[in-house]
Order: sequence, then C-alpha cells, then structure tokens
Amino acid sequence: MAVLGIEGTAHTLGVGIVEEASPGRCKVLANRRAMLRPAEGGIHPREAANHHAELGPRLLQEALNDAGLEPTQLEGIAFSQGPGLGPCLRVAATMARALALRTGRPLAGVNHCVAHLEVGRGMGTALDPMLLYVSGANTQVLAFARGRYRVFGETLDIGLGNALDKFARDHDIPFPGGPEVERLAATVDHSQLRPLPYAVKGMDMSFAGLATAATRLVHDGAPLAEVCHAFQEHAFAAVVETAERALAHTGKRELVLGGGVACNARLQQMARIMCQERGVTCFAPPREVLVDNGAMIAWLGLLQLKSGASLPLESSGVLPYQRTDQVEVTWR
Amino acid sequence: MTGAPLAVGAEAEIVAATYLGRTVLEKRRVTKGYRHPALDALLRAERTRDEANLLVAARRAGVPVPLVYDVDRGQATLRLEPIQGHTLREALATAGASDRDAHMRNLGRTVARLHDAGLTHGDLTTSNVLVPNADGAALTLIDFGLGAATQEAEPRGVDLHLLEEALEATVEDVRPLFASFLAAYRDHAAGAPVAISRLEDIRMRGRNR
Repeated sequence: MAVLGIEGTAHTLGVGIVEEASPGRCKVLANRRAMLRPAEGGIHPREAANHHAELGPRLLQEALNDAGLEPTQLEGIAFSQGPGLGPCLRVAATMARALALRTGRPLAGVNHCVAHLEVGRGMGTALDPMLLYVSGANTQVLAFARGRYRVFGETLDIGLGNALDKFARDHDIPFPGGPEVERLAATVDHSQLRPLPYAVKGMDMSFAGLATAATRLVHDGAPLAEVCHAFQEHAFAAVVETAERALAHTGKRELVLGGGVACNARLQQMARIMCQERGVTCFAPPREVLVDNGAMIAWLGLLQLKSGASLPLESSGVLPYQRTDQVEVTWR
Repeated sequence: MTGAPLAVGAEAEIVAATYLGRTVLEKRRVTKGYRHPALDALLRAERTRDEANLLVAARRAGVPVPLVYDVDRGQATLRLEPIQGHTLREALATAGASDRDAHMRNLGRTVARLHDAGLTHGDLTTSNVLVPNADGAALTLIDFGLGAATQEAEPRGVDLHLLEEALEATVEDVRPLFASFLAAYRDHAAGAPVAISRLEDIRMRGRNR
C-alpha cells in the first residue's frame, strides 16, 4: 500500500511516498523537497505559497519517478491539513485534492506536528515515545496520553528555530541561520560560557528574550562565535530540560526528536545524554525526515487510511490553527 | 548519613538523612550531564535558593509548609522538615464524602493565603499537598520548585487550573470537590476575582494538558 503525502505548512514544499514494509514499519520510497530561501527577511506567506505552486508539479513528478509508480498505483493521497500558514496549506491541499479526484483514491488530512512524532515511531523502535519537536515555528514536547496527542510543554512566544534565524539575520547570516550558528559555535573553547537568559517556566519555555539578549551581547563587543555557542548551550538546555520534565511527568521511557533544529549535532548530543542519565531510549530519525517533508505526511496518512479514516472532499479545508489535542486519533 | 532516594523527580531527588541529630529530608538538585557545567551549577544554586526563599515566605504568611533547616547552595541541597502523612491524592481516594469536602475547603483557604501573600506554587497537584497524620494538623504544601513570588494573575490562574486537572486524574466527579475548593478560595482570597477570571481564560485556551 503506497501512499503519497504533500507537506506545505511553511517554507518547505515536500512530496513523499511511503509504504508499510512490515506492521508499523515505514519505508520511504520517495521524499522530494524544495525550500523557499528568501533573499532577505523571513518567510512571506504569499511568496512561499507561490513558490510551492510553481514547483509543485515538478516535485510530484520527481517523487513518482523515484518510487517508480504511476499515480493510479497509489492507494491514498495525504496532505498537511494544519497547523501552518494558510496560503501554503491551501497549495498543498489543492494539489492533494486534484490528485485524489484524478486517481479516485481517498484523501487523508494530516496534522503536521503529530506526523513528526509518527514518522519517528515508524522508522525507529519506539512504541510510545515523547516527541521533542524543535523547528522554526514550533517548539513543543508532545506525546500520546488519554486517547489524544497532548502538548506537555511548549514555547510561550517564538519557536527556537525562529529565534536562531532572528539572531542570525541580525548578524548577516543567511536563512536558515541554524547551520552557520552551529558551525561557529563549534569553533570556540567549550569550557567558557557567556551568560544569557535561561527561560524555562515550569513545563514551558520562552526564546524571544534570548535572541534579543544574544544580539545585544554581540553589539557590546562579544565575538559572534562565542555568542553562537552560548545561544546554543542555553536554548538547547531549555528544550532538553522541558523534555526531561515531560518524561518524568508521564513516565514515558522513549524520546523521539523531530523538526529542523533537531538536526543540530549538539542538540542531539544533549538529548542523548539526558536520556542516558534517565535510562530512556533516544531516537533521531535521519535528516530527510527530521526536517519538514512529505514522507512523514504520507506515513501518518497511511496510518489514518488503514484505520478507515479517509477525509471527504467537502471536509478537506485547511486548519491553520489546528491544535495537537484536537486531532482525533483513529490509528492507535 | 543518607540512604537510597525516597523519590526521584525531573531535577531533584529526595533522601532521608540526619542533620544535627534530627531526621531530615534532603532535596538535592542533581547535576545534569547534558548542560554546560557553568549553566548547570548556576541553575541548581539559584533554584535551591529560590525554593528556600519561597518556603520561608510562605511560612511567614501562615501557609503550612515544611521548615527549612538548611540551604546548601554549593551542593544545591535543601534540608527540610519531614512531614508524616499521606498525599491529598491518597487521602481523597480513601476518605468519605464529608472528609473530602473538608479537605478541599481547607485547601481553598490555604491557597488563598499563599496567593494573597504574593506567592504561587507552580505545580499545585494533589500529590504536592500532604494530609499530616498528626491530629488537627493543617494541610501542608510541598515542592515549591516551580513556584514564584509574583503579583501576576497568570500563575495564580495556573495554580487553580493545575489543581482542577489533577483532581480530574484523581477522582471520578471533580465538580463538587473543585467547587468546594473554589468557594473557600473565593471567600478567603482578596485577589480571588482576578485569579478565577484568569482560570476561566486558561480553560478557554483549550490547553488540555
């Protein structure tokens, strides 16, 4: 059963095709992505939507070629229904509807955040993990509890990736800022640490003040690389502490990483150390499925369709503000 | 002299110990290997100090909390008075209807006093309220690790909301118990209207954790 998934919540358009290799195991047959890189500033929703609409047909064809499939050989069409930027979501939804109508295959509307968690389950060994999801827009800790996916802690202002991008932009590092900040951070003496704000409030976090304080530090003369290092040490400690609190609170024994910022080697290292100290297993999926991608949408769509939950065309409107705990869980 | 931990939380462990000839509970904030050593030392010391300050302030305001015998910032350890008793969670599971109601009214008065003193608990679950064994002893609040000294409405609303959620996980019908709690809280807290209106906002956010 091959299912095609279209991701389009923000700057990335992704088309992936997956099948179930054995019960609960996700096999990726194709996973094509294209990301809008604005020349300056952040993502403009309409520009991102235009980018997706322009590249959509090509990515679709490439993904089908990679998988060696004709559209009629697909068993279902999934798309990111929410949460995300409305114009971007609508492009992905329109592509999915057109494909579903043409092939006569059922539609599945997928929650982007839950897809990050489910693809981690499908590609690793975890059965009932906590997801530490760190991307540009989202920074949250979520898990399955009492019949729903629930958020146990999240950022109170901006996503960690967004804070990194803001800081990077102030110092002429192009979008996305994370990789260059990571490279610079690795060049300094780790034993020294410049102080920055650390904002964990109970189970929640905040990053806007951190970005501002880091920028001020550079303006006051601190070397950029040292501030990059301090930024990572403070911000990553905050998300890992939040994950640890959520693990302690729920008693879960598995952690899965997701989101573009989770590609960072230092964040992965910190998550692994925390898990070792707690006796919890830790799994980071490969980079192609950590970032926003179509394969994770396809995989959760496959699970939803297998459980009998197909989406009627008339209910396939996008849900830009969909909350994780609004998702009806039919597949577990 | 110490033994195996009695409890292990996300950031601290509780062990029974002897201090100046007394039996005490030690709350130790343990080193986290994932954090930079400088940040780790700072957070553990600050949080230990903050929690001690909150416990002392709460006690000064007449809120029953464990006595603080010692604050060791270097070791990030508090030495606290042990309270013999059961958690409210356990007590509610075994008590009769009138005892349950009395517990919740007592808790409403206690939390009112805490909030009117400009303090919030931050993790007000039924596991962090002790019902002492001693006859006539008042409900005792423990674990101020997430507490704050603040006049803001939000953390007070969060306290009320967390308690409501914790009750939902403890008893079958939360409504009469939470209503008793809230009635007592309303009668005794000068800032009750603001906090309860914030509680309603928080419920509306659908942060159904």
